[in-house]
Amino acid sequence: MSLLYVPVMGAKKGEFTALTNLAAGISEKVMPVFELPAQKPDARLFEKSILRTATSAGKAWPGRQAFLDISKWKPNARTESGIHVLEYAFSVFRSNGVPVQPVVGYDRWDDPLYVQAHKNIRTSVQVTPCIRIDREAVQDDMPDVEYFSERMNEIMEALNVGPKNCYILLDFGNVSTVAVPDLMGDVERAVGVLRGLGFGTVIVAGGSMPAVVNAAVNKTNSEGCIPRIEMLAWKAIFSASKDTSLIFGDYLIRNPDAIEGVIAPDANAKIRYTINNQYFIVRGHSKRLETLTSQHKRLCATLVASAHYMHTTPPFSWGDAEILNCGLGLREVREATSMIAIDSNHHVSAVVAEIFEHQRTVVSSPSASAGLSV
Amino acid sequence: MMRVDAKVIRSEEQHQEYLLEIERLIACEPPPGSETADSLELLSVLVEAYENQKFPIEAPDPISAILFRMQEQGLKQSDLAPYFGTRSRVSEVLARKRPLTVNMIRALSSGLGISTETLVGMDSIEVPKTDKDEVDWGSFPIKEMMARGWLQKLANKAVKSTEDLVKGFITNAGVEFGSTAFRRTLGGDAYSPSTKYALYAWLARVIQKARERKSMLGTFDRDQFSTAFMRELAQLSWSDQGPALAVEFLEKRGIAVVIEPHLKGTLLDGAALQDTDGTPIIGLTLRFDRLDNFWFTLLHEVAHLWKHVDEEETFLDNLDASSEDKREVEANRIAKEALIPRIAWKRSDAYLNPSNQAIDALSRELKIHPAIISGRLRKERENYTLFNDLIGHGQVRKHFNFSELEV
Repeated sequence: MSLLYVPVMGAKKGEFTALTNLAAGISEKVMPVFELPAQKPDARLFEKSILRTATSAGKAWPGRQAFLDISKWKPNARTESGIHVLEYAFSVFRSNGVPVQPVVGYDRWDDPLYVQAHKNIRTSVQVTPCIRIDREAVQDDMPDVEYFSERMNEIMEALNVGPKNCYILLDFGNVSTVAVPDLMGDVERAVGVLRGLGFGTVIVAGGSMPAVVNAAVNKTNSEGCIPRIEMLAWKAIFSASKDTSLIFGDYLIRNPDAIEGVIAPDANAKIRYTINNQYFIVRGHSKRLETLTSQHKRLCATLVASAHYMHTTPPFSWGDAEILNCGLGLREVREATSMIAIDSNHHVSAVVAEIFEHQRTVVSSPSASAGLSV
Repeated sequence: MMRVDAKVIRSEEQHQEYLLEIERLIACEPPPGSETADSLELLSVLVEAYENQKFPIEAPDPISAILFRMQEQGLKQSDLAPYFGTRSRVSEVLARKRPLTVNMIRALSSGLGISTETLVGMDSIEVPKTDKDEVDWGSFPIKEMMARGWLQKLANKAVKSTEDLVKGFITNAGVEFGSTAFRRTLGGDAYSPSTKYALYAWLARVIQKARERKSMLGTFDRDQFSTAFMRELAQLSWSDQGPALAVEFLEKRGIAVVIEPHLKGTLLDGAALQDTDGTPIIGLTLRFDRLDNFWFTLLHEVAHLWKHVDEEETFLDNLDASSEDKREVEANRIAKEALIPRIAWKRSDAYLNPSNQAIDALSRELKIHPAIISGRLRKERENYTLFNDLIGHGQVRKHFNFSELEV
């Protein structure tokens, strides 16, 4: 597999539908990070719901590599049987045919129960873990290389892996208000430190979708574009380094800080359509005023009529076909989750194509990087 | 026939004639060093000189290129903010008041498709260099120092000029000079060449005030610093009188704490230093009258005293700025860990699912003020509208008769 793209995604229905409907040529270049969905604060029974998630993952992503993280959970969370949530989830994902690799939270490593869960996983299976380093650690710990490398060594020793046998995920989280040059600076410094410590594959992820649609398009029933900061930064860095082991990652079409389980009776109908370097947002209005079904039909027709829709034969992706059919009235898209599936499916396909094209252009044109290696 | 009478080209006719001749000579493939080759070289030089003069290629102007691309793509200045950082920076760059940085160039190149060669063409704006070794006594903020009453005591003495007055003030405080340079090394993020003098003046005043407090200080023992010491200090925040108790706590342990508002133009939160006799001093400006800021700054400065300060090293901190100095990073880490240990943070509902109740619960668990937790959430999420009512606005200065200190 030549890995091109790591989407950090909720292990939920919409996302799974998006993965199920990817073209094979796209799937083989993608290795998602599944973030186990959070539970309601008063929940006491977890195993059934984790098992349900794993079963869906098994149908959507059978036999394909993925990462598994419990970042939405407390690092010491245990199921009703007393098993650590990560250990339990890891085991049921694998038994459902998804060969997941565990994500190790650099910032969660102080928790002895969390450490023990990782050690237990490592004892039972040979894994290639992914150490996830958040922006706080990039900015606060990494400049002190000695301290940072000590912590990294601690993690690797406990898991009995070397720097060449694990992935690194630099997770910048919400970058919607970060300037591209600043993000580039942070990424390049971090990658410099990691390469110095001998790490190979480094995934750089961030998300530019604001938490609320108002921040993207401020008027109802209108359209607008917002930049994808993480993509702009990755492209600029790749242009200079041509480093194919620096893998692009993002949060698909969602805000990285989005809090789950919030009921939004006034949620607006919207399509988040990924285009080169940007998202094209087609916004409707509150679902209380008009059903999502009829709004989606209109929004899809608007998108298809716009200059941004990718008109290809056959359609560019399953998501694009759904948008076309919905706009023509041949298919109904009734819920927000279905639209998330459509948007996400188009996004993954568009991102893989965008990365492939950028790499091809940069690598085939030696002058493209002239003067960049500063 | 070979031309030996080649002359500087004056007319288009002559230009065309020489071009034909060059073509003919190239076709002969003359061996290097031959007379024909020399003629070819001479003609080429003459043609190039004529063409450069007649059809000069102007260096492309990067700002015009950006403006052109904006017009072409219907972009507004605000659309360029992601490439520059802020809207005001966009307008400064487009008005040619601020140079493009290398990373801006790279980002623009990928995002707007303007070649880096074009963007690099911009003349860089020279930043005036100052000789850091030179002390210019007139550059101190004398008016402000006078207004705050710092120079009064000395004003009665026979001094030749205000500059001597300042010199006396600074040197009396022990901010001495080597032959030409300030003896102390200033670390931290608040230092900048343009505010250097204001910072030294503030520092001198802090030292002066610390000396006034010396008789009230307990005995200092460097070995007393520990994680437990930091934690104990952090937990004083639990009390309504927290800021006052913290100062008392530190002074009992031999550390002078001076509250002195910052001078104009300096983005200073606090400082950690050591007087010439070894007395450790913490200076705080209370630039923000907020509990979260107070506790973080205080712990950060104590961490400097613990790990980094010696006779030669003074730290001046602007804690809004992110730093790459290893010592700043370490002080931040120690302060953070003392206030909210990483393990407790990641396990908490305050982190996973922030709410007033979750903040309250963690605050009880750790025995720290909720303002500290709210401040951490706001900073981490870069959203300074969150939990605004919890961060302790107006809860710090009141403990220190701050109004008397203000100018």
